[in-house]
Amino acid sequence: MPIVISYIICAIPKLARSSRRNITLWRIARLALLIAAAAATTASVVSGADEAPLDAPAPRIQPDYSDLIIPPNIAPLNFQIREPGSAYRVRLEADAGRPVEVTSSTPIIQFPGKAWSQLLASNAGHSLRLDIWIKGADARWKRFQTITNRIAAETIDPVLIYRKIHPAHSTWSTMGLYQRQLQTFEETSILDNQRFNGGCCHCHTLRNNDPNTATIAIRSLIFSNQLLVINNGTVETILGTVSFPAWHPKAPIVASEFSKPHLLLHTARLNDMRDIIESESWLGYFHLDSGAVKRIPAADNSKLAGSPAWSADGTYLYYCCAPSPLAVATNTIEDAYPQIKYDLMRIAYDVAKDRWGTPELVLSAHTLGLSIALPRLSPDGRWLFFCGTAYGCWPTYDPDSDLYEIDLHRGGNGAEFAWRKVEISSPECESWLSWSSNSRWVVFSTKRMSPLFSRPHLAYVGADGRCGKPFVLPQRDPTYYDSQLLTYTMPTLATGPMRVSQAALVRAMKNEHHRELQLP
Amino acid sequence: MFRCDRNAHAHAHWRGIFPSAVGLAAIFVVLWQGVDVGLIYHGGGVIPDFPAFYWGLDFARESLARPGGAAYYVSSLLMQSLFLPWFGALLLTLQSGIIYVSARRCVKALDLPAPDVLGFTAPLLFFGIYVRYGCEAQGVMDLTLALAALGLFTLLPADRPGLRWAGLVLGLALLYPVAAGAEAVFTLTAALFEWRRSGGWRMSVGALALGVTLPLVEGWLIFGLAPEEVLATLWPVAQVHLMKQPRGLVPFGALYCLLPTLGLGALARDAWRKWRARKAGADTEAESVLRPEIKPAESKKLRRESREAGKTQSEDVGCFDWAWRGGWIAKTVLAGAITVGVYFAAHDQHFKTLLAVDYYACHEMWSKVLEETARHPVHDPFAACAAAQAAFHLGRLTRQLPEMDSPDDLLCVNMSGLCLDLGLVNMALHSLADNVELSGERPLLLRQLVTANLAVGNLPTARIYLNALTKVPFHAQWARDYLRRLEADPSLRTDKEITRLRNIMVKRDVVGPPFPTDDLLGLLLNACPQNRMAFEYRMTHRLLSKNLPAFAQTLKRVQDFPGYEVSPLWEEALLVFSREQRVPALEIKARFNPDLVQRLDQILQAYEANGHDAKATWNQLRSKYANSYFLYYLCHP
Repeated sequence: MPIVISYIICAIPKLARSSRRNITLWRIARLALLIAAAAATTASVVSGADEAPLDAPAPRIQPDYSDLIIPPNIAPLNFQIREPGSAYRVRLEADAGRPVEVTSSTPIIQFPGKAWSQLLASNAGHSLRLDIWIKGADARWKRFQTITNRIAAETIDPVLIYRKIHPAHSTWSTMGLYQRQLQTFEETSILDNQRFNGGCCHCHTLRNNDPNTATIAIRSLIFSNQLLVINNGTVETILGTVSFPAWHPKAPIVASEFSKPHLLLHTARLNDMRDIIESESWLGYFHLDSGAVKRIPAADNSKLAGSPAWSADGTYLYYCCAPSPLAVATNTIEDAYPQIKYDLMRIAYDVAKDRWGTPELVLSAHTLGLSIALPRLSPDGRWLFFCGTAYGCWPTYDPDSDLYEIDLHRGGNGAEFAWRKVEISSPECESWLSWSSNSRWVVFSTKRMSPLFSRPHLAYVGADGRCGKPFVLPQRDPTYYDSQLLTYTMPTLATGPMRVSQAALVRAMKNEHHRELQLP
Repeated sequence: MFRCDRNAHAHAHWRGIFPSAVGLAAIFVVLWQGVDVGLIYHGGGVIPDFPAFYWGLDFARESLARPGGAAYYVSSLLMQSLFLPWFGALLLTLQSGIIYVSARRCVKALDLPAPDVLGFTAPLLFFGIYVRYGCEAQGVMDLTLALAALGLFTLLPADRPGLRWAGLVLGLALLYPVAAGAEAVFTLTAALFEWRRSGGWRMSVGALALGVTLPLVEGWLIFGLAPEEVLATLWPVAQVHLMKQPRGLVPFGALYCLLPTLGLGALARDAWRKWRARKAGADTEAESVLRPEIKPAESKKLRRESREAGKTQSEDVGCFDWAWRGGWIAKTVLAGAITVGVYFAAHDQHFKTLLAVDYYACHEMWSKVLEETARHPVHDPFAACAAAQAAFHLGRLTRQLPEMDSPDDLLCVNMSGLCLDLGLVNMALHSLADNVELSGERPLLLRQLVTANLAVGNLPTARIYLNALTKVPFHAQWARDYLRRLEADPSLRTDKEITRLRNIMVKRDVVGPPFPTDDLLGLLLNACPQNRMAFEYRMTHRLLSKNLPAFAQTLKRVQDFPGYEVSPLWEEALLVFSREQRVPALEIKARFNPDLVQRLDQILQAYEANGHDAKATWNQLRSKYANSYFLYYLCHP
């Protein structure tokens, strides 16, 4: 059909020359035919697609955005088609709303934001179909298998907060805390370390996913180590070194680890030569008004305790605990580090009476066969995700670190809880998981795209605790991660943007009237 | 007659700019050949924060999203030109030319004497930054743009205050997003200039007020910055950069202060003249001289007159007011001489040697490393380490002990090139990660990261570095070629360097720090007994630390290297071991040359004669037995 129309178009000038009477009419006719030809060509693509064999190959796209469950409020999942071709055509459709079509002469496919958002919003809970056609060297369009993703009914928290840093070992000159609107590609800086003389901003913690009730731990040679406390638009600082601070969900109380980490380097480990081991680690808590640290009776001095995380109702503090081989004077770090394996524990806390219970074992390292680190509880109180690592409590550098799940409704009362390895794990390192406030989404750092650089991945968590296939945080340029030399750590989902200005944070940090943490 | 005048005018014009042109040409030659700006590009791990540059929208968008982003983008691109020293020197000279022309124009507008001399101070200070191997690219670019804007501003006619106001507002408004670091220089100089010109205090105060308020408004509206954040961006150098003690800060600071200082000087001179005139009872006259009131009706006529007079005035262009015949030749010679003089006054040969040694070592130009350290001996562990590496590659490490303060300096694990050479791939990765943080994303470091990651089989990470390099000027082709090779052969079995590294790299996992040098070299030899470099390094380290039993023990591994000849230096060490430990020569399978024995006896006799004074013995025998291990063993602390 298009060939016939093209023949007619070519013939029109000859006809026009022969008649010479009504050139304008001929021109209009030619334009109309051109439009018809274009429509016919499009139709032929689509009809060609319909006629495509059922065994059409699956398209190779990067990032891998196939077979996913995606939030209805996510930015366009732009991708690159890894198939040769001279032109590319993509059609995105769902049961309701207008399909989105993108045609490109390059394999980079970028969807228009507004049309994408509308399509997703009007199809929450339904399927999203993606068809790809590629024009080959023979000028024929080839259709690939349809990629089907599911749009979840539940939204994800709209903002992701993360730290970007070079995969540094002992210095940090380029580092910052950023927030990203998940529905768009807008990224803004919360705190750039160039603003405070190249210090380190680490361990940001939000209370109940609220970015305006948060803490950011700072390490700085100039301004000392301190904790920035953001509370409803105001910023205060408390001088002192804290690690892994955790806000109580209902009270202005922060539990934290107080530790002495050591950076170790491996001479022959292939993927990441770094390692961090703690020679001393205990748990304390303090009221934000006083700054007086009290020791949590979580473990005796011969043990290491760390990675605190509150249960959703604030009645339990979960943490990791291990016997310290370094408590034996003859042991050296080099001999001892592979033996350090943390159990998962919890201890009851009565916030009204400020009283602690007795430690309970949740899951032992012996049962799991691995050391347990970074427990993270879902806001609905049902699930606990943690990292299982070969040893120690620093899974970020362990290539074998995977994510595990505990169903807190099954077990307890003296018995160990049921656990399983989560399907979102990969052969590379997974760590730093964060829950969405509705307990249906998680974000975590993973090195599956490269064993050195962490990238944030999102995944759906079903009511039964099963997870959907994880996918990387989408970027406007789908090749963005291919050459990004900064690593993403500690991705944290937030219910909105952090409103405190960078200037306010820096001003508070430089303010000389600090309170100090009073250690016991 | 008319033609004759034109020719005379043209000659005067060219004579006028000739000295400055020669000065700039001297800057070019010295930057290229003397300073060798390619060494700044190389950095050697000692020049911090070299600006990275990547082609593409992402980098441009990131750069332009901050105040002064345009200058940052252009200066980062400009610094990449230093990869080709001649090209980099040429572009830097062009930049200094712009600085000169703008500064000279401002000096003239301030009615200061000798605009050539004062104007040429600016490019000399600029030159001084690079002579000191400074890398304040963005700050300098900020100032270049601010000076150019000032130069244009001074061209606005004095009798059109409206136009000047417009120029001022436009200049200030553009400078903040384009070159924020130099906004203060523009504001101050423009205010001083206006104070002197005719508008009186109103325009000066207006300029100062605008200089503060416009950045605040723009910072808030365009970049979403709070007032104190805006003020922080108006500094030409970030505090975090200053902490790394960058080089060339003195000329850089002087360059920033030059024009405001000259403006203040002009004001002071005016005040002094006025005071003198008042004293002479000629206040009114002085006032009219200093601030001529121009009535609008006369302005057109005045402009026409000034245009006509311009030709005559321009004969002054480039002159030091040396009217005598041939004065321009003297000026030319002086301009060149001053430039060269600045080079010799500000040049830091020690630093240059360090950079050059590291550059040659990284590019495997081993004989050049030894030449450079011999020509300019420097007392530095990195240079000593590079010299030892060069000595190994030239087959001299076993014949002459490297000069080291400490035996452990032999293996400097912060030198990624040396670590890769030896096979300490993980140490190289560690060193490179720290270097990228310290020195910026320098292409050489990224290339080494590619090699190291490929060696350990970390292909996805190597690809990320390669993809980044495809956007870097001068390295894109190398990266693309490598990516193609990776596509064709992901295992890279045909790549000689990768295969070599995989064969010799450490296989046994040990954690540290500390990593004792001898243990690291032992790990390398355990991984690959044929690693000749590790073998010679271990032996040399044991000689340097006078651990002769271990030396004699490891010497047995010489059988791993067929045809290996034990050097006289090592024979001496064996002889000392044999004598000291009373081990018969036969037991260690050595047959000592009688000359060797005689030499040892001579040195021992001298040692006895000096009353066991090691220093005296060293001074006495150093010239004769400089390469003798006997002397080292006896006299080196």
